[in-house]
Amino acid sequence: MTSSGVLSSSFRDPSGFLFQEAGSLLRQVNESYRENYDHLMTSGLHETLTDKGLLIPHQEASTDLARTEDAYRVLKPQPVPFISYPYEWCFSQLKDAALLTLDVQKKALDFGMTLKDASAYNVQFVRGKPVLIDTLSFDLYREGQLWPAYRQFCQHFLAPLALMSYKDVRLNQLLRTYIDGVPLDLAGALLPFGTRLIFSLLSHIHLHARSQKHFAERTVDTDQRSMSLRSFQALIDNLESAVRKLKWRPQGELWRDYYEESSYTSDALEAKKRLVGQYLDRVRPNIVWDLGANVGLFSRVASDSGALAISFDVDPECVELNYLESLRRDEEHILPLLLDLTNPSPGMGWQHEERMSLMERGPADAVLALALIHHLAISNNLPFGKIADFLARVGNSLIVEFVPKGDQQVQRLLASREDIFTEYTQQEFEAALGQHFEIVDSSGLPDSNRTLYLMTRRGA
Amino acid sequence: MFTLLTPAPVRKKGQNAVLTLDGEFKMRRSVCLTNAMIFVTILLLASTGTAYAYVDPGTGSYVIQLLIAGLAGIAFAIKIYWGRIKGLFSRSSSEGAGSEGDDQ
Repeated sequence: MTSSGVLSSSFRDPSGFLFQEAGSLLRQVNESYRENYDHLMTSGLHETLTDKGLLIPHQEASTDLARTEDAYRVLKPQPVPFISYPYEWCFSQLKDAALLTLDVQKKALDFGMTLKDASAYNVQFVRGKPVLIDTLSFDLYREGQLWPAYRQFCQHFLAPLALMSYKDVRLNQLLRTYIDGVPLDLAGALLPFGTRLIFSLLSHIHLHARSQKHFAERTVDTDQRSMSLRSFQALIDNLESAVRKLKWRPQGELWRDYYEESSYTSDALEAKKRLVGQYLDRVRPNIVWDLGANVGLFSRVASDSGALAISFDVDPECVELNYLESLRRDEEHILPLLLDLTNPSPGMGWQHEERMSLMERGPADAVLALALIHHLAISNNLPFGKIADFLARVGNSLIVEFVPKGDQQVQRLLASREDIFTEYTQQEFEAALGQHFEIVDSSGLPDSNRTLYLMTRRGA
Repeated sequence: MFTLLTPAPVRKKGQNAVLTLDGEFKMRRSVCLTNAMIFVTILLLASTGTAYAYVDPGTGSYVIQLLIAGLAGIAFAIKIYWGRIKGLFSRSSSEGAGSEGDDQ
């Protein structure tokens, strides 16, 4: 965000921009976008999209709030409680965001408009579903025009989905390097040769990349070319069927069987859930970050109590299963996201300001760190002091579990390494956390030597 | 006007609709299809190489979009017409079946 309150995520668009005003997020619509905005609002398109939950609703605010003189309208969009980015989404989240974009494009054409961009960053997950958040993405459709967002759609959605589906699901992390989507020549080089036999991938990725290279230094008079509305619709249909055909199924069993393993008996697990629930009731958080959430068992204790649970895990399979479960249960208060806590999402883009780091999106009202500390301390050699520093930056309250050295899970981690962790004791743990937090309550967990703590950050 | 590929086919004025594959059944469709096929073949045979970040990828995206949309548009049209033809036959065959039944 700049000093004038204008958000750095929206400076590229000449149609308007986002800015902060007295704690509210507002969007200025510039005079140059007047015709498009009026058509969006009066044609029935806006109503259709918001009724179906495809576009974020907004109210019009006073133009007195405008930041520049060329303002036509000032909008107050419905707030998005937590901003997430495509490199934090699992396969199905990116796929659903892609299908949402195409669905919006199809409906826009029905009302004589088209999307001028197809950025994955224009999609956010609200109440469990993807929704387009950029009200200024719509332009009037001109007869014969091409889809200006075609290349961006291929780079932001089709290429990463194809790579995740046909090569390796972790390749979504390319989106963290390439802010405008995966370059198509790179996607083409990484995809298996067999994908050239699939017409949609052959055309939209492989030939697309070749065409980009072929015409890179040639001039084409774009004004003389046109595409009929039927071809436009066929292109969107073709992209939709290409996306729908891309599939990925979790295979591994490292974490998702975790709960079924012997760490807890089912009675002890239920007791732990009750205790976490009781601690959450005392804090009454609106937003909970569950760090190392696995498939979201304890995130759901938080979300069932009405909080929005951001359910982070490092394993793409866990995040995928968590998201599919949230869809199956039609849950609105849980957002599974992919995150490596030891290397969390950084600030990205121009001057590191276009995409927020994880830290900038906090602090959460409460953080769950259950069966997590021993992974950070032992597997990642992080001293308790560093872990405490981090937790104090991301959460106002903390529900944290200490797993002692004698625990079989810690012994398992120590089995393949020398035990240099002489300071891994409950006393040291409490002392380190005590630097930032006040211990409000603690309780031993049944059938184990583990302890659950409720802490609040000093000065929060 | 631009040269799509080399060697460029000799075109008369107004016949340069190589990429105007819009799915409509127009007179120049066969020319369009032939050129599209040549384009695809050459692209397929083109050697792999590094594309550099400083080149503008917009033009190539524009061209391939016209081509794919044209082909998809034609496929879409064929699907519709094929559906109608099948509809005609299934109607006549069901009528035929009905008359056989009547005969018995």
